[in-house]
Amino acid sequence: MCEVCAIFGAGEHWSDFARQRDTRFPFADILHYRAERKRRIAMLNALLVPLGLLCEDWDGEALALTDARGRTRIAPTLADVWPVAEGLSGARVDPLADAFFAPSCEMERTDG
Amino acid sequence: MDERLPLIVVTGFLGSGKTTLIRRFVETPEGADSGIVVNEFGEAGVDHRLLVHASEAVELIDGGCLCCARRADVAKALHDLVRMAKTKGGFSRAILETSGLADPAPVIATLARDPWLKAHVRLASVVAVVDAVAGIGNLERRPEARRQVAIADTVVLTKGDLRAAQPRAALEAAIRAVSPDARILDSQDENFRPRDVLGGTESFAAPPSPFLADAPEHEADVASFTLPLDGRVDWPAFTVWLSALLHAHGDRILRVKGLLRTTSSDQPLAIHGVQHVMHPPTHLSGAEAGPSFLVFIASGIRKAEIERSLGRALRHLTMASA
Repeated sequence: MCEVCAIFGAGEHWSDFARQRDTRFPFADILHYRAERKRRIAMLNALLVPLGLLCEDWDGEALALTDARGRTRIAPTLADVWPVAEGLSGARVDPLADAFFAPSCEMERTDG
Repeated sequence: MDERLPLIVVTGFLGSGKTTLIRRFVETPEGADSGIVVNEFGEAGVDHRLLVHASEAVELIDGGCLCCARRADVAKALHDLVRMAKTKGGFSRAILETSGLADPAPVIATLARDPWLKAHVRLASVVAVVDAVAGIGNLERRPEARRQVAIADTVVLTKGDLRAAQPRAALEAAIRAVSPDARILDSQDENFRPRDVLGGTESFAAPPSPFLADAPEHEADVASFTLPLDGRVDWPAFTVWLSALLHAHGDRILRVKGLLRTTSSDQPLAIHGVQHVMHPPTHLSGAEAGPSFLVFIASGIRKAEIERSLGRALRHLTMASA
């Protein structure tokens, strides 16, 4: 929890983990939420690093996206990540395009 | 207990009988305690103490698409209704009658994105009224009519007593081709009670029905399909995928709903979304849930594209976080 803002870090967005337990303040399970949040950020980076962006946790409540020039934008929820990523990278996010979920080694093989 | 005011959105093509249905309900003792929002006074024709008029006013936000437009008129009218409910009391639900050509998606987006409204109003149901005479023709020729039915959770058939009425089986087939799991009721049935659709006891986020036959896919038209899912779905991977999909293609995904067993929760979840807007998942007991599946009602997106994208996403993202 952020001791300054008393934010608990479970989130209220439909995709957040508090929604998985139907509770706003999941005190008992906070370590599980943290672990799941960390996994989600690893997944986001698998998609964002190829676009030249890095996603980091912002106080357990929001997500911070930074590009190679050091510009940082905050995405308050998972849904906000995509327009922010498009704005910073200039690339289009399209999960229906095969390349979007291609592992980087697979992309290299295709390219090479 | 959810103490928010239930909202029932009544949509339907021009002349389909929306007003008659609402009037039939609010003139009964059990419907008298309803607040009503209409776009046109003439259209409602309801002499009702809790009538709020909203001139249709659509605001595009952030240069976004029309489905995410904020219905400023709806937001203001609902604010007024909630205040009236608090001050006048004895007021159990709000019924919003959209105009015949209106798209219900911006109404739902307005509700989902306004924090004050979210705290005070609960979307109980989206009811599409389809008339037995012109309904099939409207569904075939008018994209507005297809969108209204695609987004609705309940369809009420009207005018089945008229000589020119189409057979009920043909009407149901036309509706199911757009919205395979919609609840379909006939207002002419002797057992039909308007309170069953307008009473506000339903939940728009109720679990969808599983394993419906896929409706035929037409290029650039509304198609519905079901994706069965094996085992437990990795929730972080699934949410990353679905949020990206709705960001990129939400304007073409009229509805997404599903029942999921996830890696993050022992309880199965029902999920519901209308275009770019997802509603918070609802939790089910293990007993009432079957296998996991997703239902899509989409325009111009094929089942194979979604299936392939989801498969790749789950494999790639799960591997990336291992």
